[in-house]
Amino acid sequence: MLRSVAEACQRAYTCSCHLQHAFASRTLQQSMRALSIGPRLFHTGPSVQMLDSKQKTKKIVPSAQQAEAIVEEDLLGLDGFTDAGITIPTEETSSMLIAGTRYDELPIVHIKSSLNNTIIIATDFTGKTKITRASCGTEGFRNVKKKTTVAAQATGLTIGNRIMKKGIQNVRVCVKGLGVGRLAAIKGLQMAGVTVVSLTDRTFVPHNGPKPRKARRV
Amino acid sequence: MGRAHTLFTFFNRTVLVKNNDVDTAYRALDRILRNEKVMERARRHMYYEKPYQERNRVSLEKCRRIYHSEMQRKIEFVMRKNRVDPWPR
Repeated sequence: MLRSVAEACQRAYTCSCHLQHAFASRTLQQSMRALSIGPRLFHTGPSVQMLDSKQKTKKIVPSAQQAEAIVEEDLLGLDGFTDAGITIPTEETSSMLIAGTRYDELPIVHIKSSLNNTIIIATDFTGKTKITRASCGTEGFRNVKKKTTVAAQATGLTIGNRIMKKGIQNVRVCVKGLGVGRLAAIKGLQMAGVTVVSLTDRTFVPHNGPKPRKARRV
Repeated sequence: MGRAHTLFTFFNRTVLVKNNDVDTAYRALDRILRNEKVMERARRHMYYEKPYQERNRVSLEKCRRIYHSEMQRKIEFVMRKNRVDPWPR
């Protein structure tokens, strides 16, 4: 009996929960009663599992509090964002007003992140009239330094400063390519004070399009 | 034309950014791309994949899928328990 109480106490103390709840274990309650120990001496957590004799296959089911906790975990998601938190464009998105401008008339920042360089071009909403352009090469990074995140961030910062000077605050961002500068360039834009309204991926994925070049033999 | 063209490109593979929180939005976009295997396909199309390479790759994928599903089944079988937990908490 004493041994079981000691174990139960250890379990109660090692519980990470800080809430004061009635300890669900029947054994512990009985033991405590036998030893005339008040329940307030123990740090107790909420019951995680409970016995359900009605169930045939699985007799131990998670208690109600545990079920709530699971729901919260699911909402948090694997990557730390909620499924409800993701906002995907709908029919109304194109006519959505952002600081007095329609969503589909916001200027676009195209980021092409190749394996060797990062090129950023800011255009108006049609995507045809260029506002400004910069690349890691024009920023003064040469050769192997071009394909670094630092260079991409510097390029993004430059573009951000230039478009902020022209009075552009809100932009849509198009990212393209498999390079390392994808996120870093957007970070640079943000550092300059630009507000990113949406993120789009425009990596070219052919449906068995033109024949690619022959594989490198490294 | 210009607007219609850009409109469609801003419908697919797009995530709206809330409160200028780019990190979360980028992770969401990344998850979408991962689920749709966009990057994998783009990477595969960088260089020409010869037919023998494609055959090998597909057969390897098949084998891997069979192995993983069988292993998962076995693990579930071994981990299955139908007894009362002596320490219900």
